[in-house]
Amino acid sequence: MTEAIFKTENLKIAYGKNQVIHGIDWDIIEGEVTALIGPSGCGKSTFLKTLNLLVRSMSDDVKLSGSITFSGKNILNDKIDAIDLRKQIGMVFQQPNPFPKSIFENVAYGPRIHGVKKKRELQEIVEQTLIEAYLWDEVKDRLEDSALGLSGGQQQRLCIARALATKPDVLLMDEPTSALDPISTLGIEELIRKLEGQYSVILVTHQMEQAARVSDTTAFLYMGELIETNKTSQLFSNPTEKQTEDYITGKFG
Amino acid sequence: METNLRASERLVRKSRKLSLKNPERNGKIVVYTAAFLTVVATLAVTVFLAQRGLQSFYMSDINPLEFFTSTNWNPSGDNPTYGALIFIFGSLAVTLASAVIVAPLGIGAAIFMTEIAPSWGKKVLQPVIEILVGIPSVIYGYIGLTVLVPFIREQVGGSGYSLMAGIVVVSVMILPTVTTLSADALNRLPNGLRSSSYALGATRWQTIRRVLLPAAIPGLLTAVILGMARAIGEALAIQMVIGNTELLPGSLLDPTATMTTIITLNMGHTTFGSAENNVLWTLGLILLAISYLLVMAVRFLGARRKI
Repeated sequence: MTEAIFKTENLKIAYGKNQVIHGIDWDIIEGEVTALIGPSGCGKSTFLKTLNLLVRSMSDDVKLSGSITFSGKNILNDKIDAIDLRKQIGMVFQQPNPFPKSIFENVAYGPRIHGVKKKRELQEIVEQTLIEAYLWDEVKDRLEDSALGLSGGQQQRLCIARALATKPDVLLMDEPTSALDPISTLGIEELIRKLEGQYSVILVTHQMEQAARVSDTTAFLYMGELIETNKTSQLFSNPTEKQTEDYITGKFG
Repeated sequence: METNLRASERLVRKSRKLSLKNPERNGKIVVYTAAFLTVVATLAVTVFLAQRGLQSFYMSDINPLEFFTSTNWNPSGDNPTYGALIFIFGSLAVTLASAVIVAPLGIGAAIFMTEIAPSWGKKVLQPVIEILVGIPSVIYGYIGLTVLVPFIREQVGGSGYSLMAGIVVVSVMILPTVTTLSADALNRLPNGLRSSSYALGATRWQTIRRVLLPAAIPGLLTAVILGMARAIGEALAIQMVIGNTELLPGSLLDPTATMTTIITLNMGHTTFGSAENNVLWTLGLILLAISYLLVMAVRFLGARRKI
C-alpha cells in the first residue's frame, strides 16, 4: 500500500454558518497526480485551500474541524506554523497571477522570504526551477523583464516555477488552465505529467477530460461530500456510484 | 420589394425612419454639449487668468525677475515693490511639508484599513474618514485657530501664528483625502497577489512590504499628489493660522503668508486694473500652473499603472 501525503478525517469546513464541506475522510496518495472534480460550488477550491491553511489567511470567519494529517502532524492543530507548512506545499491559482516584478524576482520571491540571501544561490534556484517548469529557454535572456509581459501560458508556468522554488513536496493546483487557451492548456498538462513522481500534485479541475488526461487518481466531490475516489481509468470507465456516473456522462453539473 | 431587402439594409432603413425622434442622436447632443461646456469653462478660466496675470509684466511694467526672486512686497507704498518670493515659498513650504508628513500617515492608515483590519476598516474606519474628507476647510481653520495656535504659543514658543500651524492644519485637512485614495489604490490590487504571496509562506508584513506596496506605488503617489493639489489651493484654513505677515520665515515658528492667503486678503481692497490688483492675478496664474503640473503628474502616473 502506498503512503498517504494527506489524510483527512471527518474534515468539515464552514464559512460562518455556511457549511461547505460536510466531513471528508480521504487518503491522498503520495507522488501521484490526484484530480478533484465536481460541479462549480461543490467546495473543491475550498478543500484545496484548506490543505495549506490558505483559507485561514484569506477569510476571517472560516471554521475548520476534524483533522488533516500531513507528514505525521495534524495541520489543523494550532501549534502548526502555517509559514513552514506553505514552504512544503506550493500552490498555483486559477488566474495566472505573477507579481508585478521581474521574471527573476517572481521566482526568487519564495526563497528570499525563507531566508536565502546570496545572489549566486538565488540565481541557481531560479535557473533550476525555470528549467523544471519548461520556461527557461523562453525567458533566459530576459530574466530582468517584467513578468507581466509574458503570455498567459508563460505566466502560468512562471507561477508554477514560483511555487516550485521553495522546494515543496506537494503542488496544489486550483483550475490552473481555466483562464488559458487550448495550446497553453496542453503545455501545462504536459508539465503536470512531468512533475508526477517528484511531487504530489493535487489538481482541482472542472474539465473532466483534463482529469482523465493527467491524473492517476480522481475524486468526485458533490455538495461538500466526497462521493467517490478511484483510479482515474476506473472512475471514468466504471464508476461505482450513480451520482458519479450521472456527472461524468453529463446528466447534471 | 420590401420583403427582398437584406437584414442589414432593413436595419439602415429603420434607423433612418426614426431619425426625427432619434433617441440615439438626442443622447449624443446632450453628452456632447456637456463635454463641450466643460472644455470651454476650463479654457476660459485659463485664458482669462493668463491674460490678467501677465498684465503685471507688460502693462504694469513689473520686472518678472524681481517678482519671482525678491522678498520686498509693498505694492501700496509710494515707491511700490512687487517681490512675491515670500508667498511662493510659503505655498510650496506648506504643500511639500504637509505632503511629507501625510504620505506615511495616510498610506499607513490605508494599509491598516485594507490589510490589517479589513472588516473593521471597511465598516467603521472608511465611513469615518470619508466624512472627514467632506468637512469644510473653515472648520479645520477655526479649530486650528482656537486649539492649535494657543497650544503652539504656550508649549513651543512664538506667537502661535506660524508656518508650523499652517502646515499642521493643512496636514490634518488632507490626511483623510490621502488615506481614502491610498486605500482605494490598495483595494484595487488583484486578490491573487495576496493569496499567492501567502501561499508561498510569506507573512502579512512581507506580503505588504514586498508585493502590495510596490504594486500599488503609482496609485499611492497619485493619492499624495491629489492631497498636495488640495493643499496648494487651500486659502481659508491657512489664512486663519499662519499670521499673514509679509516676511520670509526664519523658522517654523515664524508667521508668514502664502499665495492663496495674499489673494484673499487683498482682492477686496485693490482696484481692478491697478498694478496692485494685477499681481494678485499673477499669483493666481502661478497657482493654476502648479495645479496643472500636479494633475499632469497624476495622469502620467495613472498611465504607468498596469497590473
